[in-house]
Formats: sequence, structure tokens, C-alpha cells
Amino acid sequence: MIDLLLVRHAPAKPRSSEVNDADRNLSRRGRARLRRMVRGLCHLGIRFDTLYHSPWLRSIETANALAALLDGESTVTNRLCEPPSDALLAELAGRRVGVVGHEPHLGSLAAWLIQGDADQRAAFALPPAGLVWLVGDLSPGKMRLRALLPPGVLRVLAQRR
Amino acid sequence: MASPDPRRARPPSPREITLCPWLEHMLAHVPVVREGTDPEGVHQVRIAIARIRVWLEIGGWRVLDDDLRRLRTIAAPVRDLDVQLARTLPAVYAAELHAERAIARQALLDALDDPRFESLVTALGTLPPVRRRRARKSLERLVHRAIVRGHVLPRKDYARLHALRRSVRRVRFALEWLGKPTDELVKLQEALGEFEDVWVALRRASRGQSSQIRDHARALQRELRVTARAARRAWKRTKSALEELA
Repeated sequence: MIDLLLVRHAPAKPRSSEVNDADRNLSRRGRARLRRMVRGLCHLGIRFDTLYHSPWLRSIETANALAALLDGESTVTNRLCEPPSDALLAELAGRRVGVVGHEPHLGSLAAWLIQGDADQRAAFALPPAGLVWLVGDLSPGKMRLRALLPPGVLRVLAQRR
Repeated sequence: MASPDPRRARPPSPREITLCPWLEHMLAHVPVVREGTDPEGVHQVRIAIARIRVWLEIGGWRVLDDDLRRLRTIAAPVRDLDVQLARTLPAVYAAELHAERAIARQALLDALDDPRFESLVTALGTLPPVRRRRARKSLERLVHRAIVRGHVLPRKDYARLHALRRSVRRVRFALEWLGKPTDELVKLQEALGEFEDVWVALRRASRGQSSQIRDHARALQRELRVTARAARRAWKRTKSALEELA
């Protein structure tokens, strides 16, 4: 039984022909939203044993901010830039696991773990700096949705003392 | 995913420090490690990893350091065994170490073939340059840490000397990233490195069973006292220069 928190990276600068998609960094608004997200998660008392993130810059920056809530180690994995796979699940270790990645793969991962069907991803699609919290066994169809935390909720939580 | 290309990062301004040179250095030596004929390959990969970790630290990056540390930990036994095998050893002991090295080398090759290594290189290739102002502030913290670690160095507390060596190495690499002179620190680090090599060799030799290996361990014990003394002296000479940096 684990807690799995899937986090979509904070808002990044827009796509452009001059910048490789992997090299897009967070926008100013994205950084502000990320700070609020971390404060909101802190308010909920959330900590991570392990933190996995994709090798793309916007995901690295998001994971770097979330590392303030990390008690163990972080790991970078290309598998978060691809549709979810058994290889990705095999890589995830820990009891409170944070995963920072991209859409549509995070939505697919949530749908796969909750319903056993990655094609149902639309129901779990995350906005930038949004989070879905799952609990259960790390196998397709074996996890339950504990919370869906859009940025607005985390912003409100961040403002509470 | 496209193959990683560390050169794709934008060129840095004079107020910035780019990771590119040492990322390229590491990647250039990975084929040498794979080939396995030149021990320098592993050494250079480890050196590059250490410098990249310091760059991450002075840039405020908490993530990716764990990935690099794991890789360096896997590479460490290969290098340590290479250093020990460069000494004159009893034949039976050398054979043991060669066998250990073969296993350690295979573990390193497996790590380099693991998709995690490709992920790490891709991630490092995306990182923007570090601002010098930020790096200078981090340097102060690193210097302070080294001074604290070297404040008291009891004669037989080799673990403290080892910790000091790591701190000094970080300061030296941070200074190098900032383009500042490191001559005195290089000399200190050489003295600490000689001590470290003997200490590592002694810990391994102390596990030996045969009389030849025990004799070798006794010789290392004597050498350890000499190198540790030299390292402490070098620290005393260099400490004030470090304090000026703080």
C-alpha cells in the first residue's frame, strides 16, 4: 500500500521554434504558482520518501521546488516522457512517492492505476501545477483516488496559516 | 527521445557559468570506460561527476545530485581498486583485487547501459547556466563548511580527515567554476588524496587473511601515519587562505 502523488509541472514558457521542447523552463507565473503549490502541500503535511521526475527542464524545476518536501532521494527517468508502462511502475519505490511529469502521460497513468485502462485519461487530466493523489497497491486497477488537487485548491491552502 | 546533446544549451553570458565543459568531459570518457583498457577513463568520469555535483550545488539544484551520487558510488570501487593495483602487491592479493575489479567494472558498465544514465544526461543537458552571483554565495557556504570540518583534527581520527578532503574538494571545484585560482587548494588536495588512497587501501588489506597480506597491511599502516601527518600539515598551511575566502 503506497501513497502516490502525481504532479504535473508548473506552467512553462510557450512553445517556440527556437527552443527545444525539453528545454522550456517555467514562466514567471509558473514559478509563482509552484511556490504556492509547495506551500499548499506543506499545509497538508505532505512529504515524499522518493521523488521521480522527467528529464525535461520544466519538470526538473518543479521537482527541485518539491524537493523541499523530500526526505529521501530523487531520481530522473525518461519513462515519464512516455506513455505509462510496467517498466515505469517497476522503477517507482517508496511508500510516499512523488512523480513529476507531463500530460497526457500523467492522466493516462492515473487512469491506468485506478481503472486499469489508460485510455480513460481525460477524467484525470491535470492542469499545470495540479496534483492527483492515489493510494493502494502500485498495479493497474489497484489504486484509489484520494484527492484531486487543482492549483486553485493548493493556492487557497497556501494562504491558510 | 532525441539523443542527448549537451551543446544545445544557449551560450552563457559573462555573468553565468555553463555546465557544458564538464558534461562533455564526462561523455567523452564514457567510451574509454566501456573499452576498459585505460584506467584513466573511470578516473575522468568520476572527476567530471564530482565537478558537476558542485555545479549543481552552487546553482541551487537539489535534484539530479542523487542520480550523480549513485553513479559515482558505483564507479568508486573501480577507481579505488585501480589505485591499489598500481602498487607493488603480493601476487595472491593482486589476484583477489583483479577479481573484485572485474565485478565492480561490470556493475559500472551496467549502470552506464541503464536507461537512467541516458535520462540523467538528457536532464543535465537541459539545465540553464548558473548565475555567478548565486555561485559566489554558495562558495561562502562551502568554505565555511570546510573550515568547520577542519577545525579539530585529532591524530587518529581518519574519518575527519576524509570528511575534510571532501569539503576541500568542493571548495576547489566551486572556485574553478568561478574561474578563481586554486593553486594552494590543489596542493592541499594532493596531500589529502595521498592520505585517502592509503586509507582506502588499508581498509581493504585489513580484511586479508594470508601473512603476506597482513604484512602489506602493516606497511600501509605506517604509510598512513606519514600521509595523515603530511595532510594535517598541509591543512594548517592552507587554512588561513581559506579563511580569507570566507
